[in-house]
Amino acid sequence: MSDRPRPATTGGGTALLGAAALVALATTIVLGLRLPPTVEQGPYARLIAVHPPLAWAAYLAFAVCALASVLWLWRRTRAPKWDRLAVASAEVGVVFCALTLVTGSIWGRPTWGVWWTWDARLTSTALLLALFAGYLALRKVSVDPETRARRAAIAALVAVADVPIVHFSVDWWRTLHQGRSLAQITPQDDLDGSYTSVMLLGFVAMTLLYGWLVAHRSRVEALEARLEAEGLDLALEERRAESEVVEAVAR
Amino acid sequence: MWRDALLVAGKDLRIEARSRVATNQVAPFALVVLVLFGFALDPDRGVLARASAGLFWVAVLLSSLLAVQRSFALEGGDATADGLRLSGLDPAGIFLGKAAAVAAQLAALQVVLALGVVVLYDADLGGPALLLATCAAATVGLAAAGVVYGALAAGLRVRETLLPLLLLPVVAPVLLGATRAWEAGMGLSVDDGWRWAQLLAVFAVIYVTLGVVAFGALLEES
Amino acid sequence: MSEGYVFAGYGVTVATLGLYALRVLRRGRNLRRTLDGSLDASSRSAAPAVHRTPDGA
Repeated sequence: MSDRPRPATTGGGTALLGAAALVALATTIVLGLRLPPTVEQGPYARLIAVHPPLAWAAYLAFAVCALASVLWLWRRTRAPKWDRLAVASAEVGVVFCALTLVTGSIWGRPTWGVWWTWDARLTSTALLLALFAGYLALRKVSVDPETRARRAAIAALVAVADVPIVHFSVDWWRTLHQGRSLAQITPQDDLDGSYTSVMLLGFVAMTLLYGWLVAHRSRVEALEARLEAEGLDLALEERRAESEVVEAVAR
Repeated sequence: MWRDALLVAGKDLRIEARSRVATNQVAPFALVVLVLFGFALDPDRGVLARASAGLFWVAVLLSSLLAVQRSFALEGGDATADGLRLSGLDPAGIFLGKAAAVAAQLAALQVVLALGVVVLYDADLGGPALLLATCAAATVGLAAAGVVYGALAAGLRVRETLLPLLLLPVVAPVLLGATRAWEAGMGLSVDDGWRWAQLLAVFAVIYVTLGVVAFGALLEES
Repeated sequence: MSEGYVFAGYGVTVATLGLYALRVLRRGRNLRRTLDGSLDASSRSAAPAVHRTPDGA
């Protein structure tokens, strides 16, 4: 029946988006790996092509989640698509956030000798991950979709309200204890700006990739909703079919 | 709204006075936590005294989880949201009332814990003005955020495990700020304690506002 | 050896994102297949299964 195995959630130009993302990402990686080693950090500053872009994508994802939550909560704009966007963006965001921490850790290990520094930005990011992991956990609890969407939307907003507070508090805390910070990584000898431009390309790549992932993930969510609805219809159909059989036999 | 708040707060506290769960279970739990810290860290008094601010606030945080769970268990287990909604009270009032009751219990708890920290860790609670201001701001913030998340997790069968996961990351800045403020007040650091107290106050304002605004939506049924 | 960390960083990024993307796409495909399949099933059940014994389930 199906002619050719296309991704079931494709359509509306996402293939184009995906292609663009792939090209951008591949270019970033190739260029990134080719960057010349710096004086202070040797080859490790090359991770600038992935680590900050991943962080950016994570923050973008959570911001979109919060925005979608507001749109869903506000009666005038309420629509299931916002709920789907919220959960899709949150899930993708968690992936990017976790990767941010992992790449940050991998970067920190050879540079400062430890797997984790209580660097202000890393710590805030870790907390952000925890906030949205909680959000996803809340969503998995089975209640009716409407209640679940409402609770999740409020949870997202409450979490996002916390973000600036987390940012400031961790920042104040860690600026007393100077020392190693990933913010101090822009290499001094980046004379021709090659590091900066690869990093910017990385930002573009991750943004495109984020868009593509969210598009597919929200469509998956839509399919799941349809499945739930049709599963219900199916059950009713079968119930009706059974009762017809019983009637037929009884007659 | 305020009348409803007083009603709910009064009810919660009266139930507590009768059942004494906070006094008989939560407070002892908090003290046990303090003692366990003593086991975990070198009872060389120096370490414990230096860490006492942080340990105090961790104990407060963990106890607040219990206090919030209890606050919603009062409403009847799995049918919590229904019960509150059908009561006809203003949701914002319900929120304020519950938060006030939780705050009152936390405040009492902090008195006990403060004594515990002085006795067990040989802590020196100097700079009382800053310490008290910190407690006030932190307690309001904790209670507000706690009740909001308590409502989010209310009526769910997994609420016991879900609530800590939801609440603790959100109130992490409270732990951070309160500890720093206390350390400054106790003379253990040269940080500006009042700046931290202000941060706690901002947190409290934000979460009280969120609670007042969002509680109606939270209790809503589709 | 020093290059190892850089490759690890890039590698884990690509691997994780790739695996996640595959997971999402696969889930979409399975859902679509199930939905299309269930549409067939419901058209089948419209003609009642008279071969079913009344005391069956």
